[in-house]
Amino acid sequence: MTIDDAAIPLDAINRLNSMREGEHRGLFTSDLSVNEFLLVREAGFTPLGLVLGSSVYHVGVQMARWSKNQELTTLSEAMYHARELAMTRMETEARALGADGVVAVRLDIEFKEFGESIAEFIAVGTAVKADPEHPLAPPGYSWHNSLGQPFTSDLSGQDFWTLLQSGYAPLALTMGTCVYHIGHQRFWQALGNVGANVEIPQFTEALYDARELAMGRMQSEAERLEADGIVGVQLRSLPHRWGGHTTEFFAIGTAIRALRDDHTIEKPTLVLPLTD
Amino acid sequence: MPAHPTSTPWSGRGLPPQAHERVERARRTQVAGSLLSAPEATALASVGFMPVGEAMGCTVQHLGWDGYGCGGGASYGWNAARTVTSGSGERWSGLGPYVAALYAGWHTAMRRLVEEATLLGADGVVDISLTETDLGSNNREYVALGTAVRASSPAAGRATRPFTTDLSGTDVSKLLHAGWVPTGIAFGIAAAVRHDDYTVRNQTAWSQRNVQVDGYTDLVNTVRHDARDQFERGARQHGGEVVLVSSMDLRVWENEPSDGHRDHYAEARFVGTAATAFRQSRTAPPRSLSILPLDRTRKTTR
Repeated sequence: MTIDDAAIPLDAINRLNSMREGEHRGLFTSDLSVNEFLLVREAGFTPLGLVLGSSVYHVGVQMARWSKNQELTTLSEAMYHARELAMTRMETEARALGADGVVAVRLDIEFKEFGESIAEFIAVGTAVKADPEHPLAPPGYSWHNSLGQPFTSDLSGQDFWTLLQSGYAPLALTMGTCVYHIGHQRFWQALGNVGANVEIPQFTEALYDARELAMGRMQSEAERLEADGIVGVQLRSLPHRWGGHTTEFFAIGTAIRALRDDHTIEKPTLVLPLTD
Repeated sequence: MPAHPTSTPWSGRGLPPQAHERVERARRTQVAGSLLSAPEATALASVGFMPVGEAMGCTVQHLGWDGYGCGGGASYGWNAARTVTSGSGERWSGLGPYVAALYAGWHTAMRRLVEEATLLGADGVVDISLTETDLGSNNREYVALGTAVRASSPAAGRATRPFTTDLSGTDVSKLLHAGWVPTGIAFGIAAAVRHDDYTVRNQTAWSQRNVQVDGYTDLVNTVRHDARDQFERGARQHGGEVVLVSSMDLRVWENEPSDGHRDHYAEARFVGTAATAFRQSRTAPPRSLSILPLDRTRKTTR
């Protein structure tokens, strides 16, 4: 143990004792993990506070033809609209704090004891402010995106740090959704497949179609932001409460823009972890 | 064999005699128990903290009155309702005693844990787990269990009161290396009730319409806001510049006190660790090392 290490508890304990006296200003909350908190600070950002937006939403009812592959537009619109409401409220909180951006955003849907077709849509993240003198901060660069809003990103603190190191800046969380009804097979069709290993083109096409629609919508959101690309995309299939044949396909990712031409990062050191 | 518990029942003040006995024995024998894993213990040793024993605080509380009844308060029937939270201190905030009982449970458990840690001569308690068990008949048990640690260097002064944190030993070590010290665990608990008024019933009726349910949205937003306020207040009491939220829960339930009169209740809870900087710098001083672990690649953990 070096002298420096041993000195840590002394400094820490002295500060602990002094902080216990009186009222303190400048407290902020954050749901970042310790790793994320330290990395976000190292990247030149100061957390301002936890920001949260929520909407309890009644999702309309739409009937689908039993055997037909089709998008359920009413449901797609509902999933979009409710998420937008939650996101907008979160962004409003971030703007009120004077944030440059929101990191580690989570978008969740929870069906609670409100009834059958009612769910809570919630967006949570940590608002951050950039240090303009930090070496990573490009001179004169505004962290607000092309729509003049603080940036939003669903990347973890680790990914956020790496992204900035490589000369990219997050613009906004982009998403695309499609609620799709996959048609049931007709009796004769199903009978024809009994005992055979065959592709069922109707099902394949439906799943293809739905995913392409969701990803396409996410892409057009990114185009609107004049983004260079989207990173950390997740393509989720969320069955919610609509039975086996109706599924929400949800694409979500962070649209980014290049800050400089050179995108090389320091070569990582290889380590062999001694833990599982 | 330790002496058998005395026949006089414990008064409920301070710590039970058994707790005193265990602490006394630990002090005498210098045998330090610890709930830490090997990486956690090593990480804490690197910042000069050594385990001195397990610290526990526990209490069983009876919830005599849950604040049910006239949830609507000022609004009945079909009139426009409003959300009433436990923190509002209004005439209708019947949920106040309910939330006060939850707070009492956690604060008692934490106080006892700190008392044990103080007797062990600790400077802090790390990796605290908080568990709540329903024992039936409206009795609830609250347990806080962690590992008490003490600064090993003789130069270090003693903390006037041990810090508490629900962060793991490795997390605490990382924070200390970066110049932050945890101060204490903060709780933010709030409950709220809202009567299902005409607008809510209309918006939740079976229909093809996509619509935000304004009443429920107001309910969850108000209760979370109240809990966040309480949480921040709790963190300030510990003296912190930052609070790292470790859990954030929301529970919603329905109650029908009379026919055709339906209320919705919501309870929000925030738990986290407050910390403060002891090295003043605008950004964290240590450089992270970019490494590539040579095990199966997995998703980056948060």
